[in-house]
Amino acid sequence: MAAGGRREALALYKALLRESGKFTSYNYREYALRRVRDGFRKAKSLTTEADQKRELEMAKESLQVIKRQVVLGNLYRSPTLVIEK
Amino acid sequence: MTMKPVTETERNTSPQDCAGCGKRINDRFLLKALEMYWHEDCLKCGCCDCRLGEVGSTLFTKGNLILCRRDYLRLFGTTGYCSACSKVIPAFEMVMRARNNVYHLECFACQQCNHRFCVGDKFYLCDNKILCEYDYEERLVFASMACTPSSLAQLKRQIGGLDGPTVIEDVRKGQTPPTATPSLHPTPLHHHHHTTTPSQQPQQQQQQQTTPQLLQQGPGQTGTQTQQQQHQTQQGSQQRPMLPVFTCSSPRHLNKGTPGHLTTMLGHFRRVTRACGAFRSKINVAVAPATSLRFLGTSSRFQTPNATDVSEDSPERWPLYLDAQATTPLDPRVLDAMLPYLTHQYGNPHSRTHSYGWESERAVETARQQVADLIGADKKEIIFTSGATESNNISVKGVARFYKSKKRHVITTQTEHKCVLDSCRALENEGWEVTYLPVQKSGRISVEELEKSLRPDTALVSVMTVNNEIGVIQPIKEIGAICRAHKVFFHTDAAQAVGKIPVNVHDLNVDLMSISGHKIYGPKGIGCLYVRRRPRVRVEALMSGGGQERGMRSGTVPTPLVVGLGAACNIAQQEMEYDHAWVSKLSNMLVDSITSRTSHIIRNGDPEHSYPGCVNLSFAYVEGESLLMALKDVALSSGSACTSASLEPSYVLRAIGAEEDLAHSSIRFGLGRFTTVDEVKYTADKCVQHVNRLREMSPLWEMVQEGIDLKSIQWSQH
Repeated sequence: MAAGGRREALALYKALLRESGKFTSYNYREYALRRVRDGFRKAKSLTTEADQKRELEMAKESLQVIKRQVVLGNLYRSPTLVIEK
Repeated sequence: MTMKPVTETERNTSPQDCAGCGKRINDRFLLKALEMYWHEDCLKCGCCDCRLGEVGSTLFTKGNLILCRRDYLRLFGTTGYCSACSKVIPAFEMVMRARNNVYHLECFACQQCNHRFCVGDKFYLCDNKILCEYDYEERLVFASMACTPSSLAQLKRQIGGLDGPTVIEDVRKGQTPPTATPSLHPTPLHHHHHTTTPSQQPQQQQQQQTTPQLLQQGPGQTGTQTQQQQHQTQQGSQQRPMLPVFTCSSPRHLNKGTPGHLTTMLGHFRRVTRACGAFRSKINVAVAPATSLRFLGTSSRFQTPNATDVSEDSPERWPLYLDAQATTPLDPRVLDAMLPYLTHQYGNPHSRTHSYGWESERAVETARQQVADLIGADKKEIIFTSGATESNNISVKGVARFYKSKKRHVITTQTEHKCVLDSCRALENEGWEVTYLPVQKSGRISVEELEKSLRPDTALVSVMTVNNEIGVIQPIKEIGAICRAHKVFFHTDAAQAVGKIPVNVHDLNVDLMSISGHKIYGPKGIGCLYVRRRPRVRVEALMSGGGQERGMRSGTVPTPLVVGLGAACNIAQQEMEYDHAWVSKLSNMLVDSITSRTSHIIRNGDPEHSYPGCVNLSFAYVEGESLLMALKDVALSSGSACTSASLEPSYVLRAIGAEEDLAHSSIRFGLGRFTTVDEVKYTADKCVQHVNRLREMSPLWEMVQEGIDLKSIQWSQH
């Protein structure tokens, strides 16, 4: 992976994890965190430039979606589950 | 701007050109003004065309424009600047005057609460701001709270109990509060003079605070400059210092009744108060929280912290959701796709004449393509319905009724969904013959038996792909091949299968397929029916109307729901592998965890040919309802949601040959994309705990432990 691309990917990774942690709903939060981690882990092994670009674009879009949905989740709070602290 | 007097008319001695019309002045008299010469008639006001020719009249110029006095003042004259909004007040506009300040008519409202004053309202000027009496008093309260400690202590005592009338005294007694200053009557438009203060003004500078005459017609509009100045000086002399000092003689000013008022006041003025921790702690005030977002109440009653109307059965902490076969939560990405169509893009997709309709139609067609891609179909073969139930109805009844002249027979299974079984019963009433194929112990049908039941007059075979109660996957590919060979239409209810296991209508030789939105993390109220076009399947429409959806399902296509379904299918296609791996892992974990710690657990359904996300376990010697009650921290189900109202055990379990008591004690665990490992562990632990506890209490279990065979017992008759 090119150096600039790696930095960008790392920044996106951190941003995605940070935003995903803000979900108020337990299920959404856990899924988003898991999916982001697994997605980046899998994409690490990609080789072609086009593939990497595509994955990065998808990650950027996902970041926007997550941000919006976090706001919505704050407006319409889901109740705490028994399993949460 | 210049104001120059018109010079005298002169004898026309030397020929001059008129500045107004440009011609030579041949009259005897001409006017000279602004270093130019004019005909007598040509020197006119640019606005009202009145002659400015009379000697002595002043003309006003602004740029190239010549105006008479009246027009100039009307256009460019000013009464000053409004003290509230700091904008220029044109000369002839209505103004309000108070205490050396001029205000626009609109600006004369309380600057805190925007209350426009009416006749009889008292208003106060404080720091050059206009306040209504309530805001003024609030200001005073807070200003005094920032004052000396003694007054603070007094205030504490007063505010502590707001039941009775409160009289608050300040250290600086004796100074009267600034009284209400009545405003002056506004200028009627036909007068060109500035407003004046009425002569009543001095009388009202008293403590009693008689009703200020706000909008009364005062005396005399004949304000000359001198009179104005007189009144102003009078005002100045009576002007009190605008300090937040008060002695309220009348208790009614501060006792607005309830603590609620002060609560809102204090909450509103949070920023004004100085940090006074002890004081604050005495008052239990719902101060506005930092995040404005959190202040917005949600529509659900469970969000209010001190809700008094929370019903008894709504839990404090909600159970985990393990009922994915009943419904699934909406994926955030699906909601994100739907929201534009629920807010600003609300057009009807069948409107052909404007962009609202075109945009909606484009979205619907995109969604159609997304659904078609998931099942390997062409998008012309997708019909949107209100759900899998409607799709099943259209398939079974619609196909049967279309071909009723030639065919008389329909084949289905005993484990189908209630809507298919009920449609078949309706067909029976219409004279059709229906064969209900039995299932084996594993839950799958026997393909040979199906082949044997096929007749020349069979119209339709309907077998669901994945059963919603036991999760069994039917041999769809083989059935499809047989149906294709015999030229019989094959319908499958794939509501639980689509998006979870790979489904391709061409590989499976399926002619009709029902899809449900809310089983694949999409919205509720939408579904779809795949109707093959080659070879063409003809369907008689159940919903009559405008012929939408190829004439098979009339009615406006609900754009937001359809977009949600499309997005859900798109996501499912991309995530199918990942989700399947996750759900399999959870399923194995659950089953292993439970079966390793308890015994006598039967898994309903074939473990190999079954979707891992649906685990149906029967716990022997435990009553099913009591187990469900005990597991109230987990949202589970026994039997399917459609049949749970009746006390009868599920017909699906009966069809696979489960014994009566085992059928009663079966629990269905539904795992999905959003289920976590912790949830599964918790569920398994609770399940094991309660099963063991209930078995401890059961005498049957004791007997089983001792080795007695329950079937050999002769129960005595009473």
